[in-house]
Amino acid sequence: MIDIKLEHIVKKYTSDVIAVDDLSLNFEPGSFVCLLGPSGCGKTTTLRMISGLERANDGVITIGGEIFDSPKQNIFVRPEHRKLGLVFQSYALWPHMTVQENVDFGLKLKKISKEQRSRIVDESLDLLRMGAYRKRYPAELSGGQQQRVALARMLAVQPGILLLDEPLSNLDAALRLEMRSELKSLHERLGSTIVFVTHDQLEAMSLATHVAVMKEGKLEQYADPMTIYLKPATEFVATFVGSPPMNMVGFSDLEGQRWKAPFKKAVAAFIRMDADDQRICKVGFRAEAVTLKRSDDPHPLKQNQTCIKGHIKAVLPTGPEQIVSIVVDDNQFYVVTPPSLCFENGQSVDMVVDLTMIHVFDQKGLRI
Amino acid sequence: MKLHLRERFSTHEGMHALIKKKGSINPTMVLGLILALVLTYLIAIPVVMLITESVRVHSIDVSYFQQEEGAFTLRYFQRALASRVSSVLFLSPLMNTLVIATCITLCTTIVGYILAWIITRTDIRLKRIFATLAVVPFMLPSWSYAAAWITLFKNRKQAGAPGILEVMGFTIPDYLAYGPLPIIICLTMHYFPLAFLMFGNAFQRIDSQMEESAQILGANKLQTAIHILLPVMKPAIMSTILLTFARTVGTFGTPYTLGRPVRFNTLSTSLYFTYQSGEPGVMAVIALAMLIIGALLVALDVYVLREYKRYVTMGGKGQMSRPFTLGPMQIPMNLLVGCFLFVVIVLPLSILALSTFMVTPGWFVKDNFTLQFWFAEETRVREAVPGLLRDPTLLSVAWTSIKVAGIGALICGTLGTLVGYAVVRLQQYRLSKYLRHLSFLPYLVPGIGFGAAYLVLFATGRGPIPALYGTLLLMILAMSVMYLPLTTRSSISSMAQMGAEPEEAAMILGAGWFTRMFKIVIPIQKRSLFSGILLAFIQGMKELSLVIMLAVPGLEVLTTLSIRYTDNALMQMSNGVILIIAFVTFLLTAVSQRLTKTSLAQGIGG
Repeated sequence: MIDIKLEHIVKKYTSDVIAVDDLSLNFEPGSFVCLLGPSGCGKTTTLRMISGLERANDGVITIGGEIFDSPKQNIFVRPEHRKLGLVFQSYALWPHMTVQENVDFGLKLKKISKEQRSRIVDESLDLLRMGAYRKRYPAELSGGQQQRVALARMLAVQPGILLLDEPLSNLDAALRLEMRSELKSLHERLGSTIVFVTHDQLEAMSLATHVAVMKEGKLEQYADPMTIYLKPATEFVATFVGSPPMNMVGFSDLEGQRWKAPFKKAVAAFIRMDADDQRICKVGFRAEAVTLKRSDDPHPLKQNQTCIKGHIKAVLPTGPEQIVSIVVDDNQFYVVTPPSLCFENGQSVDMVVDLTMIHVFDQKGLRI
Repeated sequence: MKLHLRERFSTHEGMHALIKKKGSINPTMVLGLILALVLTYLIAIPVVMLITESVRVHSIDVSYFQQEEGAFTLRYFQRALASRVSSVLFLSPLMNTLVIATCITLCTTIVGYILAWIITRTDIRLKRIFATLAVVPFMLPSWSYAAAWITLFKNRKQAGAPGILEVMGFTIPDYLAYGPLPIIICLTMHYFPLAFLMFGNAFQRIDSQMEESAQILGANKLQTAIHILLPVMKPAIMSTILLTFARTVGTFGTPYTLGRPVRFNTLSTSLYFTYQSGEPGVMAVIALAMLIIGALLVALDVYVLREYKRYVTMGGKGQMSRPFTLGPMQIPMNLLVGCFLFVVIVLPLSILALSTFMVTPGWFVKDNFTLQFWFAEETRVREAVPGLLRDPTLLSVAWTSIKVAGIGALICGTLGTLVGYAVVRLQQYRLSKYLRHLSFLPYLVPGIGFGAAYLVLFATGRGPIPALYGTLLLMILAMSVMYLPLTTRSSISSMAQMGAEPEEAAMILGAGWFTRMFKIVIPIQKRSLFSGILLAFIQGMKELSLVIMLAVPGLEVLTTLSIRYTDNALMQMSNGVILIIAFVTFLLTAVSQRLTKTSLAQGIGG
């Protein structure tokens, strides 16, 4: 059980390309942390700096109480001495070695006796149910199997920290689900600290004990998954996490505080909630905060409710529910309803928004 | 009708169904069969002919052997393998060839590997320029380095203008001037770009995360290089070794230029000399030996490919190529690569160019400089020959060169495209495999051996095919077959990339086979076809080993003309011709890069 501490980490590739900008994070021992963000947000770079494949330009990386990278103090521990595991998106199995040899390689380097090695190889392969394929070459395995071997290869050396760089993004949907549950139970059994990089917010939500959402090299929010979902710290987190994305209503013109006509009443309600806060710039509400009513269906508004009128653009059934997209002027909103409700395209509807479930952000996109 | 429709609409089976449809002729199959016939005649038959020629009494030996022409004999084999002259004719040339080819292969592999690694895997500067320059030596005629070498190191042993260093007062020992050492050095300089290209492409495809995984598990740089990178590169290394070996066994110009003064023979020079001295039987034996070496290489290639098939480098999403940080070594490394490229490109070309402007190369006084080798109506140095640019024969020879290489490349490109099409479209038939293997055969067969086989096959008329010896057509034919592997390979890969869908879409719309061929397939393949033809043209312009066997007085190309000047000890003229060839190939390369926006070193420099 090892903890990782990142303090004010900066990574520049060239003088004007800043991959990671003043990032500070604390990973508790035994936690399962997801680095979540769109591509190019610096999450893989962060992982590579933890692994030592990349050197930070500034800041301090401490792992298990020991400083591993600190440019100011001129300390850098090479990746081969960090004793951690890293699984790549491409798996990067060695094609000239069999499954068994792939797993054995790291043990050989540790100069472990032959009997012990073969026992550990067997154990690791059995743990990931790949024992039957030990004589195969990677090219003779399916994507999911290669993935397991890549994991087994890193688990065999019993690292205190396991780093995973988008390990599931090359798998098909069914396999991905299976590997997710496998990873989660693996984490519970091994108890090691896992850092997991993904751009899939669903994956992050379902796996992690903590999620760090990143954007353009900066940390947006670091919290447990439910906090991320229920109390997004920024407008970016609010729209990036959750599917369908959070609906947003913004000022068209901040100076005069004029809201576009269809939102006028609704926003007035929103703002009243927050006592005329002048900082309010954007208001967001998730699909589940909305109850959809036909406009011709009389429905008295309750307290803490407001209404926005719009038209149905499309209905997208997903099985257990349906996502309804609604157009209000040129804004598009998503609402989730039970599949039993029937709507027609172009039909006018009222979105009834629960005011207790709205999120308010200021001009910089920060939560108020 | 219902069935027919279903066939046409299931995209994947549409093409197969068309082939299998009973009662109708499938044009692709017909094309495949015609190609198989043509290629068998042009590639397989010459090899078989060499065997019969080596055991058949030739007219020249009828009275000596006291046997009828055409009767079975083993005396040619005996002469080559077990007679007083066998050591001179065959055995020591064989040894020399094997030793030299092994050394050159080793050197080019190491040089090419290191250079490719530096340029593709590190953060060295000027990558693109270095990658482009590293291919230049291969654009020069193969014996350019030998010519530059001899211009610099030549000693009194040989007639003609003295070497530069000799003029400057140095005494050059024979082992440095001629023989195996300079041959190995010169051919390494010429052939390392092959290794560089193959390794560069292979390095490009390797996921650098494979090395990083090893590093994470505790492997240091050296362990990673030995246990991960080298084994992963093994398939590329093996095919580079085989190709370089085949090329060096078949090369003629360099061993001829540098070996002759000290009677150092390789199979290729020995083959040429037996041909010159009128021993067609022994020549066939030597050529056969070269083809056997080629066949062994092909067999090895097939074995190696099968062996490595199990672990071909897997492509996948999320591959990365992070350059190795040179750090403080960056500037020294840049200098090192720069110096190396200077030595292999600028130095030899300058020596060649300088020599053509000096009566006695290396004697730096004002009166010694001259323009006569290029412009005089009659040079006054040794023989009264006109300067190169005043020589009407040079013009006609250059024209012949362009015709041979140009028409050869056109045929080669067309044939290659058709073979590629047939191979990809007839994939489920054995015919496809046969075509593919046959068209790849010249790839690993030594050039001069192939030339000898052509000489034998077309020396007399056979059936409907007339004797072609001494004709332009024979040279063109040999050229187009020799470079067939180049165009076939690129055609197969681009046909496979194109897939069957564009053609199937046209089929659905009712286009016939010929319409599809000319309106869909060829337009899509235009670029790959064009660059294949240009590549073959460039290779053809500087080809010597193949045409040296087929050139006759009155039918010469630039390369053989240069060798003839060497024979007549006209070093400056010979060097001038090499420069003309180099100029033409550079020009063509530049034009083709401009037109197709591709280059040999594409992507290697990033």
